[in-house]
Amino acid sequence: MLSIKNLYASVEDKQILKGINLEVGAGEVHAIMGPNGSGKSSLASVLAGRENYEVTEGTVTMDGKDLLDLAPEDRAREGLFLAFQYPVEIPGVSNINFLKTALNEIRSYHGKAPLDAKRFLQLTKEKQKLVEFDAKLVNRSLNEGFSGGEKKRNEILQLAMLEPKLAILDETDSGLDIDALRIVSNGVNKLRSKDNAFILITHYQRLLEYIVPDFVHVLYNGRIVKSGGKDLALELEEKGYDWIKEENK
Amino acid sequence: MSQQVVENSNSLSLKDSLIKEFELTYSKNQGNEPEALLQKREAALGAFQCAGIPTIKNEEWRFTNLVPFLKDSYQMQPSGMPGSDVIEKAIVRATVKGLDAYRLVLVNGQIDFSFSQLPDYQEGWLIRPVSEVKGTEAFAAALNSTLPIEKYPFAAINTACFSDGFYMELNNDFQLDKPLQIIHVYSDQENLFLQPRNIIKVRRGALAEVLESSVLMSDKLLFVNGVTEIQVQENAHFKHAHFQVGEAQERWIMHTQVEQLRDSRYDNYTLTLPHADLVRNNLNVILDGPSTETHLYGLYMVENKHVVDNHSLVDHRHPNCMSNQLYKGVILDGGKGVFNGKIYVHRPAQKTNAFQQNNNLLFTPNGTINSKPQLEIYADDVKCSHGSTVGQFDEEALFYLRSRGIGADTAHSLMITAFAFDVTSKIENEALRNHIEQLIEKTIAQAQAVI
Repeated sequence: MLSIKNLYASVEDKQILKGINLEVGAGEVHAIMGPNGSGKSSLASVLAGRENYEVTEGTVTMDGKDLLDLAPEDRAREGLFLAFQYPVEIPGVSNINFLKTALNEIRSYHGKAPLDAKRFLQLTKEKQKLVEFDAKLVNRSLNEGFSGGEKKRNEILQLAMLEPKLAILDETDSGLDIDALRIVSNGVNKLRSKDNAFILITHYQRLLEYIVPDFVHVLYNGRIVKSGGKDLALELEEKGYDWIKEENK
Repeated sequence: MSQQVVENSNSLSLKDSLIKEFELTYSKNQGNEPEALLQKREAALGAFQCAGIPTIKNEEWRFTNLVPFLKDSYQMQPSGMPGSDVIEKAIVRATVKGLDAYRLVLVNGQIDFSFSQLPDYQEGWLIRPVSEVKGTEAFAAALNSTLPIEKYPFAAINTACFSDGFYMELNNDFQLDKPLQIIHVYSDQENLFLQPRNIIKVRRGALAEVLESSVLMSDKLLFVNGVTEIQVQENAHFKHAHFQVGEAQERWIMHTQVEQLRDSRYDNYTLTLPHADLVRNNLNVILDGPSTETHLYGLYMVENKHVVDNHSLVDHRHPNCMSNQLYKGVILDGGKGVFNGKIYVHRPAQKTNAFQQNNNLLFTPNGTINSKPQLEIYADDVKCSHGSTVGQFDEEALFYLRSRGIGADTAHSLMITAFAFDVTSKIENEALRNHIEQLIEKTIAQAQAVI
């Protein structure tokens, strides 16, 4: 589904990603771990198309389509979703209007008619229930005044509504208490299917107890230096990242 | 012989044309108008002659250079009246979908009752042409009662020259059951300079909602130098919205002078959208009694080479008054906006609550906004605040929206609508609110097509 080959990227002339190779197949869950500043969030940003990142080498394709050639909105329309580490508050844009606009722009990209009001509301209700999202928040301004947990749950609601092929969760577990973590993880687990894939970016093994990955990769200094099964996460939890740093000096 | 100024005999300067217009109308008015009014006109002409057309050296006009708008020559009176088909079209263009309202139509500044839809006057209110009521002593006495014309040269020359406009009066405790939409239709074969004078008197305990808008039905230039004087008496409530949506050849200098008496409330919504190339609003609210409430909401979207200048004054003269002002501006590519908001709290005006906020969004880096909050406070037990911001699009928010599949244009549009929401959400009338939101969306779509 996603194929990253020899990806190099920089911000303001500083090289951040230094040759990333990663293959993600349908139905798979990949976890990307690594110490602070290793390039985890940068990888997510580059994939989603954040403007200040410059790709200097390599290719990224999703189902054969060149992702790097597309504007951020077209990547989303092709089925890529990034759950933000810090979801943005946008006062004056209602959550519901935002969801509707996003959903219908994606539908229109695929030549589908917009959902009528009734079906849209039905869908919203259903997905809200699925991710245990407070109905009251749906009518509020987008993320405005939401707690950290509410913001992250809103990301999962959007994920559920937009049904992307590939979802990247960028430190979705950061700042969550144990209940919120459970709710968010349950949501993701319910959304997992043989047709979609997930990339979980996280510091901690904790999230992976709830969402069990098929593969774990360690990102260090802009490259994937180690890959393995879910046991690798446990090993990292136990030993920390220092041995990785040692090995890759 | 030293330098001699060579005057083009065909085109008088605007100042001279205005003075000449005064002379022409003055001789006609003698005998028809009471001595008190004639004296006010003469004094006003003196004030105008003394001040002249303001330049950027005048502090109140520092940011708005009128020179580019003064080059053209204008007729000071309409050369004729448009046909009824033109007026009908204009009314259709001014129609607000879903708005259930009475309608008052003015054509080139004069009331046309045949196109208006008004209830019976027995109900407790009346609307008359100013030309009909200006002969009374009471009218003359009330004119400019709170407007210091020596400070406002355009209001001064309006006072000297005006011939017509609308006079509206609501009796004590009368509540107008529907909003009144006032449609100002302008049309002429020549460039036209008009100086309408309107008076609104909302008597004790009365309630009314008025929406003003205008339509230009010709391709000639239109310069309107209008003055509206409003008195909101004890315990009355007047809601006043002004939609300024026009054509590129329109220039507007509008002076609105409001006097509020004890326990009254005045709400003003000034919504300025393209395409008039000059809009200057002077909005002065004089709080002439204690315990009043005032809300001033403004929204302006300014396009390339055009100027929208909002000057306001809230004059707190008595205790326990509350005023709240929120103006938001979107400066499109190459546009120029001015906000100058003055709050004056006099010494006796203790327990004043006065708030002011002006926020601006620059659509592209190629726009200008001059924002100048001015607070002068002479009382010591007051709550006053003001804030002024100028910003650009929040890139992170834009990226967030786009990362959800929302296209850049739609994302911009959502964010501007959200920016304007603080103002538009304050419009209680749903039809008006929808109307303005649609106009905003249309304006953004046009602005994006240009970039």
